[in-house]
Parts: sequence; structure tokens; C-alpha cells
Amino acid sequence: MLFNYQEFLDGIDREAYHAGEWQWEEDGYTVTRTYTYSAPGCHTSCGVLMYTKNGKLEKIEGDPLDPCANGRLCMRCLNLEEGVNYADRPKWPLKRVGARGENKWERISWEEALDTIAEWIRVNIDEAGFGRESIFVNHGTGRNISSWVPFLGGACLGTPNIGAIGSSGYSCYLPRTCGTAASIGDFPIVDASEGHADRYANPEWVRPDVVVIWGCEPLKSNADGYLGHWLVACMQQGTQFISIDPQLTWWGAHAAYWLPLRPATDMAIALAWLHVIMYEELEDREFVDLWCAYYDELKAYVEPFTPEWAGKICELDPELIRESARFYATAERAAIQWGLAFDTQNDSIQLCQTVSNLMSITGNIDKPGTNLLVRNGFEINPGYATAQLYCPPETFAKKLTVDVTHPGYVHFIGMADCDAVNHAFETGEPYPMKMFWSQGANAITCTGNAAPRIYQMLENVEFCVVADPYLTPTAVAFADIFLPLKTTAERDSMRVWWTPLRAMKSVSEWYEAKSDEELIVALGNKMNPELFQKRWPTLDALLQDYLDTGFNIVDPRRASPTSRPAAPRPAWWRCLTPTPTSGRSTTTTARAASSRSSRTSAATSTTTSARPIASTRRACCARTARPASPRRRAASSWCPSPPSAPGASTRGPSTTSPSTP
Amino acid sequence: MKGILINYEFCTGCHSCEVACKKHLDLPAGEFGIKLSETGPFEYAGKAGADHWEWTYLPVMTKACDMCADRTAKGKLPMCVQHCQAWCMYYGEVEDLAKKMDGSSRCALFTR
Ligand code: SF4
Ligand code: SF4
Ligand code: SF4
Repeated sequence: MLFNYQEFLDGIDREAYHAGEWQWEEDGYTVTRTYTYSAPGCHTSCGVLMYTKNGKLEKIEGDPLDPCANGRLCMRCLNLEEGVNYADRPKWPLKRVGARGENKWERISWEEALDTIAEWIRVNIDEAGFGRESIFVNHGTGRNISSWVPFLGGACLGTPNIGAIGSSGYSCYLPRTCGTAASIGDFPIVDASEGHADRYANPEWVRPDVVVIWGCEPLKSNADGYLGHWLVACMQQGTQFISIDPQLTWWGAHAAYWLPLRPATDMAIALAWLHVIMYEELEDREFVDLWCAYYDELKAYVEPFTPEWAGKICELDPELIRESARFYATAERAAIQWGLAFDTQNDSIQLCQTVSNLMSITGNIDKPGTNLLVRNGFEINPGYATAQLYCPPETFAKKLTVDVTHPGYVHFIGMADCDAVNHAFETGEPYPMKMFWSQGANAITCTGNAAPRIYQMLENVEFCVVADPYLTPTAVAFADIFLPLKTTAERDSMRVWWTPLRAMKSVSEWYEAKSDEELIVALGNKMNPELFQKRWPTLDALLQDYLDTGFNIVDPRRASPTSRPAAPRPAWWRCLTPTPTSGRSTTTTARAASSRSSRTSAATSTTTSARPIASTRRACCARTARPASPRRRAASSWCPSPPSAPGASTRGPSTTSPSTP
Repeated sequence: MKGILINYEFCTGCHSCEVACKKHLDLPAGEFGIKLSETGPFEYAGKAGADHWEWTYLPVMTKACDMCADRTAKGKLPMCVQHCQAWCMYYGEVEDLAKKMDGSSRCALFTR
């Protein structure tokens, strides 16, 4: 093995890379050590050194001292400068002057843009007798705007209808998040040492023996599995692979087993693997006895699902299914890297739960080198549900939920239901959609399989606002007002999506563009001044609140144990009170408070710890974890971890609303 | 003499070395300081598992490569080595790099 992480660390010339400094001058450039995020938007966020001159981004390189990416970058950030300084990038707010789609615009000021929006809503929604639920907010998937934009929808515009348009159901990561919330209590990712600041050199980390790459091509896109190339570092250290993919990928060509299944028959393989493992008694007996509920019932259920049964469905040799199942189950440490293919199948939730069961019965959860249940840095957990706390309760009750088009189904996630949104746009039922707000999203292109349908839905919407760094096809086709947004290079923000907490420093300017956060402050102070003047009057206040509470509702009377004295409840408290419809029970709250307490005190060195009374997703999830605490520590040394929850099990779904990617 | 060792067994063909180098040398479209080659995928009859497939990427360093002389003089890594996502490139004295090759996986050693 040539790969030697310690040798790499020892070999870096720390002086040449200005260790310990976050900004310095070098050869006429100002160099800033920071992280990238959206826009342009990426699920990863790598450490970079940005080189600027006179407020303009000139070049960028990876930061070898960043323990996340260790200086390695993909092509996209290597060429970030081209996207940031793109000549046709809009410089100021625009008002449409031609017909929709003609791409004719007039420059306007931010004041005029925000006044126009506020006035349109006042006249055509409020005074015309409609509710704010007639505004739909569409956002994309860049990992921190997906909490900022829903927050804008609820707190600034007062609508509960936030999410995706054109799709049917949820075809991106929600099946995996919901599927795992119910069965194992959290998001599983492959432990490629990302929980440790000293990474592969950490003495408690052990590389996986086997990694299953399933419906995923991590080298091209690893979305919520972090950097796909970390798995290549594992391979160099001896990890062997199984590839489950209809197509030959780099992984399939390098795998001990490649299962080229018939597309969308993954569920049959998962059931057959369960069958082999349970009937050959390859499960992790200790883990099953301590942490798994309903093992015998599951075993009885999978009895008919033999490799021969699956082989016919998947068009695979049953022996290949049997041998690969043994290879996964008998490894001391095995992990599954799953991809979007899990979310886009008809039986996606069942598939996610079945594969969660594979992780559970083999004990491959939360021990080094297996699947980690990963958490946000310092438990800052903003999400859809958080955002909707600020939508007035009577409006929130009208949210477009799953039962609009699927009677009898129960809505339990933060987003509005896609099918219900489509239905409302197409039929005006249960109420007409008057206004479309798109931020960091490009519905007509990115949900391209539904482009004609989306076009028909939006062409007659009375008022459309598009906020984006670029004039997208969606902006050209529909926007009445276009608001220019900043890219990552211009934006002060942070990434809390899993450890570590990463700060993003603005290093350049782009004319009049605003960051998503600045837009929230400007719009909120115009549309909802009573709340914003009290809680988020400025950008600093907004960013601080994000760090302190993740935008959760804070009862100022309840002091955190370490930081705040009890205070009388101020008058504005009323508008922050969570509603019964937010789906949070007092039991949940109590459990949240108790499970958070140890972490809260540990986190105070970097964040002020106000304790949200509304719980976060994680606190009330049934959680499967080994009782041995060293493993837990090993998994999360960057972020102080809670005591594992004894008694939590795979039993039954939790009632919580997973924060949405 | 300085050289770059590529443990190409693990090269994934990600192109980061190419783009990092183009940025460093400020090369126009069509010119490269390092350029990826691809062999495969094809199958070996009678072999199983990871030995069954050949799919090999190997970046080739061109005449334009200056071994990142200005960067290495300051103690920095060459751009391609620093950004290699698969962690399969090493920079150093060719003697040291030759010793690093341990026969466990395929390597190529490049010099100017
Ligand atoms: S994975 Fe690529 S695009 Fe994403 S942050 Fe890292 S270098 Fe940038
Ligand atoms: S050493 Fe520098 S110039 Fe040579 S290929 Fe690598 S990046 Fe290009
Ligand atoms: S950067 Fe590394 S992995 Fe990517 S193509 Fe170049 S040598 Fe291969």
C-alpha cells in the first residue's frame, strides 16, 4: 500500500500553506481559507483557498490543511472562478418588460423590487380575499439553501406551501431519510473516517472490510454520502467492494462481486440477502438481541424470498446473490453506500427499510468502518419544519398535504406534497395558486422529465418571482421580477449538514447581488416587520440565531443550563408559539430536552446554547446504537455526542418529521 | 531529480489533475500539461472478481509540464498532485518515489 495518511500530513509544508491563518496576502492576492457551498451548489463543501484581487475572485485551490477534502477538489470548484465571474451573470434586480419568455428586462432597484412584491401580495392576495397559502415557494437542493428558503417561505411570505413542483411523490433522498428515520433512527453514511479531525490516522478508526456500492456512482455524484473518493482511500487501505448496478461502473470493474441486476429490482436482492443472512444464521446475534425488535417476525416474512426467487426477477445467477450476501454479512465491518436509485423506485420506502434491516441485523451500525448514523455539527438542525413554525397557524392548517390527492394518507414531512401542489396549480383546488416564488431552483430544467407539465402549470400564474445567481430558463420563461443572488464566493454563511460545522466567508462582491440570507433579512423586514425587528433585524442577528437555535422557537423564559438566566416572556412571544399542527408533542419535547442536555453544555465553547422547546428531528428518533460507548465516541469526535439512547430500538416508526435535504 | 509517481491502479479518471494543471499553466482549450488516457473496459475470460475487468486510466504528462516549478520552490505541492481526488499521485525525489513503489499495485513514474 502506497497510501499513507500520516506521511501526507507530515509532508505538508505548513508554513507554505499558512497554517493557523484564515486570511493573508500572497503575491499581490488576498488569500482566504474558507469552504464552498451553494451557489453553485454541492452536497459536499470542500475546504478551499480563494485568491482575490480588488474584491474579485481570481483563482481557487484546495486547502491541503482542511481535514474534509485535504486539498483535493473536483473540476467544479477548480473552475469556480468562471461561474462566479460569468459575464452574463445578472448584476441587479430586473423587471420583465417583454412577454414572458422574451427575455426582455429593465433594471430596477432592490427597493422597487421588494416594494413591487409586497404591494402585489397586499392587493392581489390579502385584499383580494385569498390566503398566503396561495403563494408557492420552490427551492432547489443546495444543502444550506434548503433550510434558508423554506424559512423565507414561512417567516417572510407566510405560506406553508414550500417544496418541489412537477414531480410525483418525493424522488430525491426523502424516501431514504424517512425510511431510515422509521427503522434505524438516522441517516446512515459509510464511515470513511469523516467523523475524525485526524481522519484515517485516528487510532479508533478502522477501515471497512466490505463496502456495498448500491444504486450509486460515488465518483460522479455522492450527494449525501460525502466525498465519493474517500471510498478510493478505503480501497487503497484494503476495503473490498460489491457493486449492485445495472451498469458497469468503475466500482463494478474493481469489485469482488458485481451484480448487474435488471433495473429497479433492487428490492428482490435486498429480500434475498435478508433470507440468506437469516437462514444461514450469519446475523450479529449480540446486536440483534440487544437492539433489534421483531427479528423473528422478519425472519418468517422473508422465508419465501430465496436467491432463486430473486434471481428470476433480477435476471441474476442465484449463487451470485447468495455469495455476495455472505460476503457482506461475514465481514467484520461492512457498510452500504446507497444512491438516488433507491428513491426513484416505486417501492422506494420499502427498499430503504429493507436495506436498513440489512445494516441492523448484521450489526453494521455505528461502529468504526460500518454505516454511521451521522449528525449535524453541534446539533444545529434547521429544516423545513423549523421554517414552518413561523407561518401563522391558520394558514399552516391549509398546507397542501398528501391527502389532497391521496385520501386517507397522512402527511408527516415538512414539504408541501408534490402531487397536491401540482393538483392545486392545475385545477385551482383546494384553492387557486396565485404566486410562484423560485429561489435556487430551476424547475423547468431540473425537473426536466416534467418540463411540459410545469410549463403549463406556471405560464398562467399571475405573479412569479425568481431569485437566482443566473438567469435560468425558469427565470426567462416566467419571472416578473428577477432577484440576483450571490454565489458561495460572495456569501457569509455556514454549513451544518453533518459534521464538521463549516464556515463560509465572503471574499468577493458581485454588483448588487444579495445572499439568500440578506434577501431573507430584507424581505422579512418588509413583509413581517413585527417579527423580524424583534428577532432578525440584521444579517448578523439572523446568522447568530441560526447557530444558536437553528431557527427553532425559543422560549426565552427557559434558560439553557449554562448560559441564560430566566427572563419574562416578551409580548412577541405569542407569534413564536408553536402550533399543535406542527406535529410536535410534549413527550417529544421532554425527551429532546433530556437527550440534548449533555451535548448542550459541551457545545457552548463555540455556540451559545439556547435550548429549543420544539424538538429537533434527531432527538426523538428511535435510535439504534451499540451500548459500548467507545464506538460512539469514535464515530463523532468532531462533535460532542449524546449518550446513546438505551431502550431505543428498531421498533415502530417515530412520529417525527425528518428535516429534509 | 524530481518526479511524479502515479499509482494509477487507483486513478478513477476524474480529470481533476487535468483541470488543475490547465488552471496553473493557463492553457487554452485543446492544450494540456497532463492528459488522461483510458484503457477498457474489457473482460478477461476465465478471471473472476476484481481481476475480471480491465478499466485503467493513466494521466500522461506532456511537454508543457514544468513540474510546477514556482509552486514547489515555495514548498507547495504541484497542482495535479494536490488536487488528485483518488490520492494516487505523489511528488518528490525520484529515488524516494521509486522506493515507494512496493509492487502491491500498478505505478508509473514520470519525470521531465
Ligand atoms: S465536491 Fe467538488 S463542487 Fe463540491 S465542494 Fe468539493 S470541489 Fe466543490
Ligand atoms: S506538475 Fe504542474 S505543470 Fe506538471 S502536470 Fe502537474 S500541474 Fe501540470
Ligand atoms: S486527479 Fe488523480 S484520479 Fe483524477 S484523473 Fe488525475 S490521476 Fe486520476
